[in-house]
Amino acid sequence: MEAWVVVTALVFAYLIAILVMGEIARRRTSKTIEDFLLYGRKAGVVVLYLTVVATYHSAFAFLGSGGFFYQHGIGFWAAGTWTILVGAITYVLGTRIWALGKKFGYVTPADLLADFYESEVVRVLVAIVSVAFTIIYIQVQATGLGYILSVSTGGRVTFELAVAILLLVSAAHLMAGGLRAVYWTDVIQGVWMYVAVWAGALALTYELFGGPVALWQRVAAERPDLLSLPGPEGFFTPGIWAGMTIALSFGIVFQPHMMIRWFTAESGRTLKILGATTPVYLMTLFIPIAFVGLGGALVMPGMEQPDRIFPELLFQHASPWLTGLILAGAAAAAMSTLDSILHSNMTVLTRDVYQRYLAPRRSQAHYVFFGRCVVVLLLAVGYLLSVESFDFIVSLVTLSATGTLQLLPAICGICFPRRRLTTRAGVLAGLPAGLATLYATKFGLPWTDAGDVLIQPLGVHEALWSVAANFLVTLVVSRFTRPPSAETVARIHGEVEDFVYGKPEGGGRQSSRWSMS
Amino acid sequence: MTPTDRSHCRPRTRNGRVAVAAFLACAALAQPPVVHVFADRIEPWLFGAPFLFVYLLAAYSAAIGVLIWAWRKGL
Repeated sequence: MEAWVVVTALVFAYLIAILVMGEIARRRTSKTIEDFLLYGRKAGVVVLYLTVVATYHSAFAFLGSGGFFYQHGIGFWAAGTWTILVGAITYVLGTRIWALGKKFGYVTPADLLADFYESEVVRVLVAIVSVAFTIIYIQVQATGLGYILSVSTGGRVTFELAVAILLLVSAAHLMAGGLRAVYWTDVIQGVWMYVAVWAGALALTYELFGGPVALWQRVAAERPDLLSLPGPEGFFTPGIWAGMTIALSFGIVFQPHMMIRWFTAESGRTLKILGATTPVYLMTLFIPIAFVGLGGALVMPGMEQPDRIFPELLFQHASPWLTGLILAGAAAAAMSTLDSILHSNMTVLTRDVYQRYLAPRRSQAHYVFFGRCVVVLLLAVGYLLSVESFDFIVSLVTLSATGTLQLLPAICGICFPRRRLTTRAGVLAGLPAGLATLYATKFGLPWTDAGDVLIQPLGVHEALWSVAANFLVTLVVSRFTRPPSAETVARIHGEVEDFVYGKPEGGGRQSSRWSMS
Repeated sequence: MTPTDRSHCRPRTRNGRVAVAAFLACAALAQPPVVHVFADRIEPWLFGAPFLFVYLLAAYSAAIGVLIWAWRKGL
């Protein structure tokens, strides 16, 4: 049997298994929107752990990271910092957001922000930013899936058709089973992805070099530029390193598909365990990816699309059975994130826009149906973007994360009570200022003669410039504008205080800013 | 609102202060300028891996250790 037949059969067997799980989940899902959108807020440690890691790691980790190690060398090992910060953010911020969601029934990030800042404009702005920037993330997963299936079939299935097939499978199982289907498949995908990356990377390393030690020696001898900073093309300068650290930690966790996971936890303790332990999984996954990227640069130099290095190496140097299993794991990595993003965007558009402004007081089943229509629309957009434009997967993810990073000042104003309050006007001024700065420092001002001067000034990543501008404007405007009402501040900051430090003895809080007196 | 407000930006317990300081120290060790000035060395260190790779792995492991310690302490 030809190798491509075995590989393709295994990948399709995996896709069928995903669809079956979606159907089983559909039969177990009740018609309530909370169950469809939030898993009934009862996700335990194991399920939540695996869905968080499977969602964080996507085509970005499986394909994009290998491509970046291949192109820019060891500097991509900076990725470890992002993953550890994700744990710390979950531990500190995630638990607070969970407590507020549990207490006040939030379903989306916009619920949280609109409630504290007492503004429907904030709700809509946050929903727009969340959806707009995570559509780029849909493009990333679609691109990754297209690479996987087109390589699996030895080019017999075109990239465009491969994208379409895998997007449809992902959407079908999401529309059938809602978040329950996503979580069930994430449990399998989270385990499969980790095993597949390690197994594939080690198999290639031993096959091509005789082991990791020999691999490092070969790279040091033949491509020492890959082992030092800022890398062969001078990419990983200090300003880029620090900027990507902030964007790909805070920016990723503030995307709705990650924040909604916090809302689904059954307890704050669950999230603390996740915060402390998920970095072990997230960080160590980049070790085998480094073997793939750096080794690939030696044996397959000059690739036009470095993101394809892992599947191409497997297809050429590993057994068909192993390649099939691993590429199914790669599909798992992309699909587990894709369905989560589709689900979160569906939730945001259904809850924050449609249900609130366009069609209030409809049945729960009506909103579930509308949500499914949204998924179809998002898929069409993601498909068009993925077949029309090609960029490094890591670059796209960074842009996506930098957009949602702009929610940071507003969220800090809620989760970290302090004397000077962040205000609605501050958020409404800071967020656009951050986005405008992002545009200017990422793309320049092409309609001016000296527009390019603005791109990454001083070699500092646009994430740092944009979030700094956002913070500055938010704080300055907040200084001179009306804060949220005392009732709202007492209710929400009081809940944060109670959750983090416990209720004062006697049940009432005395002489505190959070009290109403 | 009263002047007895207590900020959430500063830890209130000794263990909290230790955890924050230790985590920030680990994070700083994995950031510029330390990484680019001190750790950017190519010579093999452990299992043939270059110093930079092993150094960062150690810094990441230490940061994870701080998170686990904080969790075990109930922070």
